Amino acid sequence: MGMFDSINISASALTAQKTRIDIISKNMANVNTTRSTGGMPYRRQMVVFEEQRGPSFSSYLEKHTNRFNGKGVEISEIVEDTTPFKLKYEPGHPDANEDGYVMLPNVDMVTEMVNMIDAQRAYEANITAINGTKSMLMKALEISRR
Amino acid sequence: MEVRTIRTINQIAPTDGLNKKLDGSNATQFGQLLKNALNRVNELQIESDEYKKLLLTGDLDNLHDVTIAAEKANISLQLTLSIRNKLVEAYREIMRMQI
Repeated sequence: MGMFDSINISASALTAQKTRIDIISKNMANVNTTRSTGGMPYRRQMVVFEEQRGPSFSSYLEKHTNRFNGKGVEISEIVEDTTPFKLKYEPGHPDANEDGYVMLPNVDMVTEMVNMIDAQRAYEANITAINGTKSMLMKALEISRR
Repeated sequence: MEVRTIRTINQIAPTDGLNKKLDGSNATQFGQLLKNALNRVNELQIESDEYKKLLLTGDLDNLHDVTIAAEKANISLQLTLSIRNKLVEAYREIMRMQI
């Protein structure tokens, strides 16, 4: 395991959380968007995280020889939330159907806010981990320094 | 009670390896090692510079990449410096030796 591996792992987590914040911002920006792909309202998106691994055989070997394995986290995919759209009675709206209902995105502002706080705190936690690693390395340089 | 025989000193501390003379290949290996280490430190500096360039031109995706690259370059440079100081100190110590 290299000297900067723990920093690289934390950096991958920072990138992942940053992407999560990006997607949450996108959801919040499109909370009232009624025209998206295929003439349908905007669908809420979610990120799926996955543990980073090397080539499969070597990671299998490392797992069974008790060596360190895993290189952090990465975005596996960005999926769409399949929960149904919200309906709102607004007959004057150009996208209203014949009964006067408008289909609105399945984005819940409160959920997005909570997820954003979660992502922010996770980002901060990883920065704390990086700072911890850094101060450990700096302390190691202080050994026997006069 | 079983009394175990005391092992001979040779088994505990083999002295065969101590009498081997250092051949020239070891010296080049150390030089090569130092060169490789310095190259890696230099690579980290270059990586940090590349990220700074991206930051200045506005092509950067993640701000933390810059700070982390700078931090890595800083730590590796400090490590290099402290090793260099140790080497110089050792050299001076030897030069001060009374013969």
